[in-house]
Amino acid sequence: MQNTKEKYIYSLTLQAIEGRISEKNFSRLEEHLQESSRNRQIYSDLNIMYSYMRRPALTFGDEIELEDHDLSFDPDLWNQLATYEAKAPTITISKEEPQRELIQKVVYPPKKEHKLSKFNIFTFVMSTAAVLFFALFLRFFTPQRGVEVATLADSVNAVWSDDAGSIEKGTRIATRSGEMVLHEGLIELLFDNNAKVVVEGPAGFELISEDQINMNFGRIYATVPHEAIGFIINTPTSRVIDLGTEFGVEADAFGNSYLHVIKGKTTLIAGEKDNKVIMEVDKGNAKKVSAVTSEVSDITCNDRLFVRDLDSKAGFVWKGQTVLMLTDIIEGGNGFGTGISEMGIHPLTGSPSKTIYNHDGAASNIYHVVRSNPFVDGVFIPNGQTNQIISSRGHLFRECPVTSGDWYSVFQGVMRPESKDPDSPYVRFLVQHANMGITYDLQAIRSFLPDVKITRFRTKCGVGMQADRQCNADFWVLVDGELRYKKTQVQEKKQFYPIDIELSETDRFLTIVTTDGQDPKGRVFDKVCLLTIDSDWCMFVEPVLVLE
Amino acid sequence: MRVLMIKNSDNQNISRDEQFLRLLMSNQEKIYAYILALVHNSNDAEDIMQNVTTVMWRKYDTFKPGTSFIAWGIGISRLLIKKFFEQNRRSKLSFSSDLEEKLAMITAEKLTSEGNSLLEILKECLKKLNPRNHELIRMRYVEKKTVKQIADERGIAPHTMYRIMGKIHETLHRCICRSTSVQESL
Repeated sequence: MQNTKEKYIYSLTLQAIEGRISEKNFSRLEEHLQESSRNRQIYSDLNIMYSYMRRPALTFGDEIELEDHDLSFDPDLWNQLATYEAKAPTITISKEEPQRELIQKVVYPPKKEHKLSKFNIFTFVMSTAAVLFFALFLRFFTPQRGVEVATLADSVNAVWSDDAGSIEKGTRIATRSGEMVLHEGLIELLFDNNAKVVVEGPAGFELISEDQINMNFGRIYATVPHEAIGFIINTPTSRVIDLGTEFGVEADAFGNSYLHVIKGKTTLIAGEKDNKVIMEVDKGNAKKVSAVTSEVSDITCNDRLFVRDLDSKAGFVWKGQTVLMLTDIIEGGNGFGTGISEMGIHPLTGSPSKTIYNHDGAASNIYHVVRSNPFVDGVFIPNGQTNQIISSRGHLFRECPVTSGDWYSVFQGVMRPESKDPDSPYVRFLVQHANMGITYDLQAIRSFLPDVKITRFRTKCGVGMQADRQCNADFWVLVDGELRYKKTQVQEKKQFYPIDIELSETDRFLTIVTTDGQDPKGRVFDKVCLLTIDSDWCMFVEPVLVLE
Repeated sequence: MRVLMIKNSDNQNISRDEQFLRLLMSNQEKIYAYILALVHNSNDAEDIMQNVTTVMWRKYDTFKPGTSFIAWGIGISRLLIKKFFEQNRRSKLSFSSDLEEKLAMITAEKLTSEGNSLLEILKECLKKLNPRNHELIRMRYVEKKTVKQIADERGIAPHTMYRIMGKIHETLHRCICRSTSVQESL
């Protein structure tokens, strides 16, 4: 049955090529091609054969009489022809009248006007000349030396093999350079066709061409844009071909290969000769190719296994995490856990600071631009007495209530039980005592993660149990000066309210503000005169930016 | 391991124009094959090929010598095929996007991984055809007759001639597969 279908593919494809295929037959052809990759192989091969045979000078060169064309090349002529081609008037060629056939209804393609320009004629002449070009140039014009095809775009703690020495960022990498061995660390290679790969040491690899790399051992993650069609990663036991996807490949020390497809689709080729297997592997799927048997088996796709992006300047190493932690940014990290515990940000200077308690009274509401942290635009103490600037671009917090301007502590991350239940797990809180504001620069974060979208800001807000007196506080969240969330007069401790704000790609400044609930000054508790911010330990539970 | 800092001195004695022509000459059938596989109609493929060649010539300054010319050509072809479909709207005689993607992938893979040995093998296989079949192939490709014209001349129904031609192409294909690594996938 299969053979019969294959025979149909040959004749149906020929009908399609000549524009004489009926709708019914075209549907059959499509059905056969959808059925199996083998049928698609046949179709593809037939088109390649046809392409060669349509140039009889190439394929029947021994049998036909070649005209004595002038093979010298005149670039001026070529230029003129190319220019003329763009402007040449259309020449209408009369077409033969289609004749009815008895077999079945044939759908003829719509009449078309075929352009016949000097360019066509020239192309035909030069095609004939290709016989000689094949004979001469393909024999003598084979490049013997490597060519630069990629650039070392970045690296983190990279240690190369001794004979490689150090390879600086920006170094051009050539083919035919032999195996490059990365003992440890991470490197990012940007190919000239814009395909990007991240290699994790230990790894050994070799660049084969601008769109092909041999991964002898180690892990590699490829991000392939549309223009890098057909990018290929070879391992000792497999070949992975891509047409615009993201995937990771690992070749282990035993020769086994692992493919994890994170986005789009790939073709995996494993085995040799009669055992050769060609299969498509889609997003969310993973395969293992055995070094011993060449068998391909399903494994669980791990979307956190490979480093996908890195930025040595910001210390970014991204392995596909779907959230970025603001507490980590407050602690001087990159949002993925590189911050230093107990470090915070001073609300008056924006500088990194450990715990400091303010006993100096109220502060002005000046917006302090933060230079020391690339992801924090600025900090401020809101007092509502004049326009409250909340970004380096002059955005205003128009709804800012009048406050005392008192403040107490630094912005800081702490570990606390999640709820009143003594057995509840500890989670990361961002402490932002009342009358403090901070603005995060989403654009700066995006610049370090160019392939990642920031889609939401998620957290819960409430007042912690650090003090035993009555609290009263307000919570505000703004995006580019627009109020997106508010919760005022929060007077119950350990009651946390969810915040989930959608963010667009154009949103830049995320501002989080706490205020003192406008408590009157001079409150007395247990014969002590309290500040308006007393017991207002405003906290945010695991504040994160959700990534895609 | 060495990181080579290559200067393309090899190419200094060859003009840019000659380089382009050489590369085009040795790759144009492959680029055409890629286009044909996706649009399946030779007239459409010719039109697109003409545009692709012109764009490649104009954009040749952006091509880096030593990199894959065929991959570059396929990339440009892909864009122009997409434009062609947009301008002409998909007819009932168009492959689904899903199938188109599969065909693009399989054809691109074959064309980018294959050397130029196929042409020589094809020529050898053509010589092995029996005289009757060889004559039919010659009529089709050397004399540029359509299958229907050949059928008319031979006094047989066109659909029968398509089957005969299909069988001959199958024979050629099997010959090529036996002679090359292509057979590994069959």
